Amino acid sequence: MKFDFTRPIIFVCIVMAVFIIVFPLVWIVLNSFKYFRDIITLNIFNSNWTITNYETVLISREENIIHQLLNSIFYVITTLLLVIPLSLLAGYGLARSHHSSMFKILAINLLVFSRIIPSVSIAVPYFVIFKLINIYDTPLALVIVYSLKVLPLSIFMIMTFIEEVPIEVEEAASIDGASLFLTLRKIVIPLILPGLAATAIFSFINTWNDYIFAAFLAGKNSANLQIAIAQFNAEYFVRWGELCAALIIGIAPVLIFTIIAQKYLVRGLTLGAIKG
Amino acid sequence: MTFTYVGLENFIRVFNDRLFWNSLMVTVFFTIASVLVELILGITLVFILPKKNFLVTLFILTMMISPVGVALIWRFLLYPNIGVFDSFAQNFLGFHIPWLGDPFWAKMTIVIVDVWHWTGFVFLIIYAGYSSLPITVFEAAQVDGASSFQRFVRIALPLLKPTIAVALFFRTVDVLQAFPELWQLTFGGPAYSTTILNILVYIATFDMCDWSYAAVVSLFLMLISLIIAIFYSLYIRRV
Repeated sequence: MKFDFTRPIIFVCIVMAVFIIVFPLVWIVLNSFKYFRDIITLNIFNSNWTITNYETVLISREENIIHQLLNSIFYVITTLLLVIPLSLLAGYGLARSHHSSMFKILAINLLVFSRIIPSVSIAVPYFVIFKLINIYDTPLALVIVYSLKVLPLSIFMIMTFIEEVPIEVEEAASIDGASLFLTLRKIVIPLILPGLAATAIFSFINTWNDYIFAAFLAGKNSANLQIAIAQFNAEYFVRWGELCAALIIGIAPVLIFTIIAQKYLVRGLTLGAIKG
Repeated sequence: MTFTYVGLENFIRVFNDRLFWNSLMVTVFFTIASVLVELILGITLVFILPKKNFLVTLFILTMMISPVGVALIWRFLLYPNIGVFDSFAQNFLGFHIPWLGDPFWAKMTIVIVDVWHWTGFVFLIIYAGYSSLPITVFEAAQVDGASSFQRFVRIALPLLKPTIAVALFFRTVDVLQAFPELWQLTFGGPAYSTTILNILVYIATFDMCDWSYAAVVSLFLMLISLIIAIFYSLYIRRV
């Protein structure tokens, strides 16, 4: 049999791709456990391992990031609580309305349109408005903005998940005398539970990762975790160890959720993209 | 607060500003370069990689990291002397690349970082389209003696045109929204060489405190996105 020379090439490509993706992450994790002198001398193998960086970032430093961390968690939870019920009802309505109805076409076009608008473009008007009505730098302002930002995508996702539920199931339930809400609660929600989880995770990640709106609309009080991380990135002298530790704190939840829910996330991502 | 209408004065002021035109050129370069590289890499990866689940997970990982996170990871890796890239190049290869300090290399850096961040997205969408193609077409081509490369280029790619268009569309729109990556990576510098329109809006709002300037630029940005969206949707409808 002829030697198939494409296989080693493919193998090398895979190894390279994995290395390029994983190396920066591993490098950050390693450096977050080192002292400053080991980091700047690139002392990889015989350095002293330590958790001081995490201690400094979370507890002992004067301006620790606990406040911003709690803010981020608060934003994620309130946004989820607002967005999921709203988009469940809106998505259900859209999914069960007639295919060629003017209302549905308009609504879907508007949802896609809101995906297109650059965040920066709407951040400036928000900034001016919030200054005018005096809620600049309050958590309320950011919760409003995040809900509005996350809502279109989650309505869209939930709509596509509900469209996959055969309507016959619901008809059977309504013949048995179930009201609309009972059908939604007992039939539709259990059937789209994985999709609902994916939507929730997307909302969580979008809110957690946001920097743009926080940069424009948050002052000291309502800053979120991304702002706190970015503050370690000074122009001239950067404490790299603490920066890495803060980075890990910011990234780790997202990565863990991604790995746990990757199957549904893939579906959510590609489905939104291909249908859109 | 009271407002006075000034007509088109703000627009004239912005369009006479060299900084604006510079940012527009940077934005165009950044968008075209990174989207093109991501597309080429994504298609190549779909062709090369076997259908392995863990690879897909890996590719999702990078795109879920927050933009600030990505920017700081790469700022750390590319930092002069301390960063692993620069010190490796200096100690073992004997040359020095100012990744963040030179206008030309800073432009390259932002493209590289965006490619690292988002190639997975392009890969994922094209990969999903590729897996949903009917396998019989490929079998027929194989029977006729087409090599795997020919099968991919002559059969899969033409069939994947709408999927690729969708991937391109989402990437273009998203690149136009990239603000935190570049802001945290280079602060728009050196010498405004990485100041894309988004960063210009931020600078105008907070450094220049010129909200009308910022409003004009962001309106312009929105218009660009809208035009691209209409263009793509016409194309997708035609395919």
